[in-house]
Amino acid sequence: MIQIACDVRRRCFGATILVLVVLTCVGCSLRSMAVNAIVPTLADPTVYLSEEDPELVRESLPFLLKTIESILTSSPEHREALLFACQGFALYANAFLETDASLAEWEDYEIADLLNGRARRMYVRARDYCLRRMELDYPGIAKQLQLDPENAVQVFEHNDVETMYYLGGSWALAISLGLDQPALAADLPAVRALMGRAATLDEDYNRGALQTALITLESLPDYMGGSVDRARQHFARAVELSEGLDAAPYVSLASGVSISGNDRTEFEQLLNEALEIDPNEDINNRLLNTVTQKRARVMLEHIDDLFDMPLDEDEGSGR
Amino acid sequence: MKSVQLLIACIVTFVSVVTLAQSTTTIRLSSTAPPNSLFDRVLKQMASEWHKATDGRVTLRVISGGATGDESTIIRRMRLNNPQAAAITQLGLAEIHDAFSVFGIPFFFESDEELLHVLDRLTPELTDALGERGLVLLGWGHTGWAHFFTAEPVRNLEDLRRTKIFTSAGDDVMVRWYKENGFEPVPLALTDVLMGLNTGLINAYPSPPYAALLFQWYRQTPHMLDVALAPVIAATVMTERSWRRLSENDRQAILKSAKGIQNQLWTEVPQQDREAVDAMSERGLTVATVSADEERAFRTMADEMTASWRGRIVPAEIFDAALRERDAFRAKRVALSVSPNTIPTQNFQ
Repeated sequence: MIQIACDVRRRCFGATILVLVVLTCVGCSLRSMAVNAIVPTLADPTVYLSEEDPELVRESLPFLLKTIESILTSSPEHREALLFACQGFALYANAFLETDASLAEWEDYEIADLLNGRARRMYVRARDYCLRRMELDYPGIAKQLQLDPENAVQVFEHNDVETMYYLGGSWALAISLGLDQPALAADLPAVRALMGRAATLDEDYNRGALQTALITLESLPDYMGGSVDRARQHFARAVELSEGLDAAPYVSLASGVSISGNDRTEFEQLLNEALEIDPNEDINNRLLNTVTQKRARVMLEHIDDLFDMPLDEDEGSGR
Repeated sequence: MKSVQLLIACIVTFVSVVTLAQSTTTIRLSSTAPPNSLFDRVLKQMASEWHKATDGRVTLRVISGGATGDESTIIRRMRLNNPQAAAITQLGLAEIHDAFSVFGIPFFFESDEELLHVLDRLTPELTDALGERGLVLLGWGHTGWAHFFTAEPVRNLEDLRRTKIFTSAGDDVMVRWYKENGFEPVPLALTDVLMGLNTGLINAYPSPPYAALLFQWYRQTPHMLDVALAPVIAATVMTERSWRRLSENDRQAILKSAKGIQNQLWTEVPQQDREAVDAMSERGLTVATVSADEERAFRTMADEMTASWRGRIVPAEIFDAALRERDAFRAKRVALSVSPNTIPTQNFQ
């Protein structure tokens, strides 16, 4: 009797477990379906990039980014969510934190340092989401990019260009704000390799966005492998591909090449051209154009701090 | 009548003093340190400190990344009081006065502690040397210790003689010295180093580890000799014209801040170099360590070769003073049995 009761109890227990497993799987699958349905709707960068009011994006994007991170907690290999997290954190850090820091720099170094620190950490987070996304298709790629970047990038194909662009961009921006951190600065060759390979695969990606990134890379000093001539070539191509509607190439060349060349006239001309662009003409780039123009205005306001008279002229004036 | 004139004079003087004390001054400081590097960050921290310590009377504007030219240009511009301040490395300092070449003597110093001792003792003479050029010393800086990076492993001076060593174009004295001692120097502009490494024109160069990492030069030269060649010191200076315009209280506040910054650099720069070596080692760099006996032999031979710097590259009295202080420090260290690699705890006085 006792034995029968035990058998019944054991069977009931087994059946309960089975039901629970089935329900859990159904739950998983339902949740997975829900995530798959909602992510493409939520994670649409064009909604943010086309916004005319930057403050609205500043206030709304963090909530979305935390939502996407919640989704990634339950679906850690969701490709679209990983890419959007990478894009979103890079966008937030660049359009708001680093821009705010560049404005604060002229008033208060301490605030600028705090903002740059936050921006750097968000770029690193963005980079890591892009690396996670890449790891799904190319296991071990993150380590390879650090050890042998030129060979590592050869595995990428045309459909990887968007992730390569955001990976290289967020990595480059993290390095530019973290030159006091050798472990971060050591990966500059990975950025070069990623951007170079992406340009080979899709030279006109996103109306010249890749060309603009290359302006910044080529604006590095020549002893670090930069080249003013190549920066200018990428500038010309970026302007051509964007039909002159993107302010970024103008500001990139002005801050990268004109300052180091002490060419005040060119600097002013480029920034004024950037300011003449009507952000409403290319709605898909409206947010970034608005933010870039804000930076251009501040740079022009401080032009006397950035440039000296040519030395001969200076000596002649006896200033 | 005389008493009226005296009263007016007193009022004018009083007004001038009050105006001087209350007026705000903006000092532009130029530096070739890359933006967001450790040195740049520390300079900007110093700017915030000046602002607070002087109640906003002194604003320091830091222009980094060589935006106002290389060090030679910055030094020339300072004669015109624009910029009014600068952070200048060993290369620029030696251009201002050859007394600073004492810190570039190959294998002369063994440790930060020893360097600090000699630097501290020589500071009065070096301050005078800067004063002769119309500059006031605010504080010393540090950008790391130059080490030899080579394409093939190097463990001693004989190995080093078989390399093609980068040396700065235009530094004829150094080129001659290298050649006299059996080395093969290749004078190049800094901008041509990467090209020189890629084409094999050079296969060795001295550099602090962080710079070798940042410029990515170590990728063509994956061997580092773990015997430091020389420290690359730096100094923060201000033109006397601008210095004189500041009140005594503000000057003292600025000097106090600059001293704090130099102590910070002396701690953080060596740490950054250690991190740079770790990061490069993870990416293929091999560090060649030598035994204590090998290092002693290395330094003895180097001392013989660098004796000719006295009176030729470094003023004799500075060379003698540095040698005397260095040897006194070593003798004291031996007496106390302190390791040469002890992390410095001494602050500047």
